[in-house]
Amino acid sequence: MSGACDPGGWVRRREPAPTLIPQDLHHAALKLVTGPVTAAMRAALLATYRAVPAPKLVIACGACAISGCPFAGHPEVHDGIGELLSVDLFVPGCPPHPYTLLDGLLRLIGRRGESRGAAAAARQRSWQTGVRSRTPPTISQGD
Amino acid sequence: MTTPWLTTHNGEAVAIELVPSVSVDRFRQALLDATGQGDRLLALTGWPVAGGLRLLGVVAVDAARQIRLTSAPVKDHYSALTPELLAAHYFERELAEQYPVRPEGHPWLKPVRETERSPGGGPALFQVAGEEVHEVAVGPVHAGIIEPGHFRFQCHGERVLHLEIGLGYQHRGVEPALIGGPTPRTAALAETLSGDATIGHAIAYAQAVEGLAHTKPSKRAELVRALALELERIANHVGDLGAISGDVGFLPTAAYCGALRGTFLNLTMRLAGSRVGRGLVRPGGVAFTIDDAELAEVATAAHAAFEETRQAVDLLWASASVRARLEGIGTVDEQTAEAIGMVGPAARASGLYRDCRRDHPTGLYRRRRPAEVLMESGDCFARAMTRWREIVRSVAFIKRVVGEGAEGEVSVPVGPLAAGHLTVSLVEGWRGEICHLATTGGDGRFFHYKVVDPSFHNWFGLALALRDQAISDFPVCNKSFNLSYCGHDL
Repeated sequence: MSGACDPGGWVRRREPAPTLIPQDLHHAALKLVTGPVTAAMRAALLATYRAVPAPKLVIACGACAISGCPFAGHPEVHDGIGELLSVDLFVPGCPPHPYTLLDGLLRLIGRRGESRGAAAAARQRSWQTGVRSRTPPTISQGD
Repeated sequence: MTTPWLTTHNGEAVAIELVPSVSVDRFRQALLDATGQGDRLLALTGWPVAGGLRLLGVVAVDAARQIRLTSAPVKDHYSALTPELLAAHYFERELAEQYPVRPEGHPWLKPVRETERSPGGGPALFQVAGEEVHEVAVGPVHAGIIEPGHFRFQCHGERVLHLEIGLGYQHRGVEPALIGGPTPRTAALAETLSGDATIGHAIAYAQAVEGLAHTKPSKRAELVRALALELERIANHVGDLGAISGDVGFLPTAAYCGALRGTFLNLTMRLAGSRVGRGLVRPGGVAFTIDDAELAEVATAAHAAFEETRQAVDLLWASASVRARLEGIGTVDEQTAEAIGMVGPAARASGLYRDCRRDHPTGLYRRRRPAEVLMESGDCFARAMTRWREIVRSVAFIKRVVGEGAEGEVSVPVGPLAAGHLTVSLVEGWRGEICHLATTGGDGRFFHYKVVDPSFHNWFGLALALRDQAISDFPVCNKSFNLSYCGHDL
């Protein structure tokens, strides 16, 4: 995740880097969940979700957040956050490459590739009206 | 009188029936005598048997490069070791949590992985009483990209009297899932024990399987493993030096090192196709053929990135305000570090030289190892400087061993595991000693698998480092250790 803040070494090139991780939950626009959601973290996950004002996005980042991956079926974990929250973006990988995350975020907000257009506009509308598609957007593997 | 100990070595398989089973009094005395002579408690665990539990004590005799095992049957209670052997306190808390056995006389059997949100309200947290005492609660969700954990600062004004650490939010049942292995799935599970120590845990797992199967990987595989392990160490140390800089508000080094960590991770990606080295180390060797030219390129690139790192880190040491924020902060003295059984760079920063690469070497480290790094002051400065010096030594080590090269098949087939055997596998990961204790049943499959991440030993060290510090010193103390939550929670 910190890699996604500076995947191209912007800092070293002294160019402005995009700020992607909001610092304050109450000003946050998206909730990025990494790792398996354990039974012990369930309440905290839901509480932070409630603390973020609408409209808000939920991103399942990495195989564990998507499905529980190697821990799927263990009584100690939920099999992915889809069991608990409606997910707007699935970012694959174990762990995802920073470019994969950046690519997914840019597509989600309609700033990249084929997402610029009808699909992005539809997603934008559904976000504003609070109706979300559960279909994961297509994400390239980065490089 | 026969000895209560069975002597073995790192990664060597021994038949379980050869491990002496003595009375619990003799078990206690043997552990106390051994640790009194300077041996080190590696693990205290056990598995259920008819009528109770078979306790297993494992100590390391570092000077002799030996590992010693003893065991004792217990029913539902025994006299706790902790009052006389502080290093056992965390293990006994874990035992009491996992099994219906009670170490009598243990000062405080707070579960190690049960969270405050567990059914039944969770464990009582230690509290300091007093009209002017207040508590600050932080977590489990933090304002940063870190894992979940709960911290309670018992404060008098800005001064922290005690830091109470509540972990277990990442408990995902890895140890039970390893039982029944080895399978391709258990190898992948071993890599997820602690994500930033993927290589370390994967080597510890592979060594355990290879020991039990009496297989020896080639020198070529040993070279690639050592290279990946040192790259992992360098990447994490560089990242942490950046994070330490960030926590004292020194942004140039924070920014440079944050980016440079990525450069080192990308070198691991050249070896494994994954920035943290997933899928590289497998029992029998390594999964990919990497030719000499590619290894040389990685070593050269590591050296180039190191030169950049040196410039970034020199800024840190040259700044008086940074040194003032690090020196004398979060001190753990040598005596305390030894008593609670600290390991890794944190122990070495406190003047306690413990390093599996020297004391229990396997693979390439039997022939070559990076030069030693030892500091004395045990404060944040020492932990930061230890990290930096280890980066310097590891880069030189990589250059040397890649230059020397090694021949052999990258992977050799691994046969079936010896039935009814046990092995202790130690690896010096970047945080310190990773210990895997694998035991096979009559069918040659794991029936007990214990993982001791270095964080298991060191979390209590962080709690002690915070005593009598300002609460604002917590971030930098925390980062100077940078312990694993998931490695602890399992």
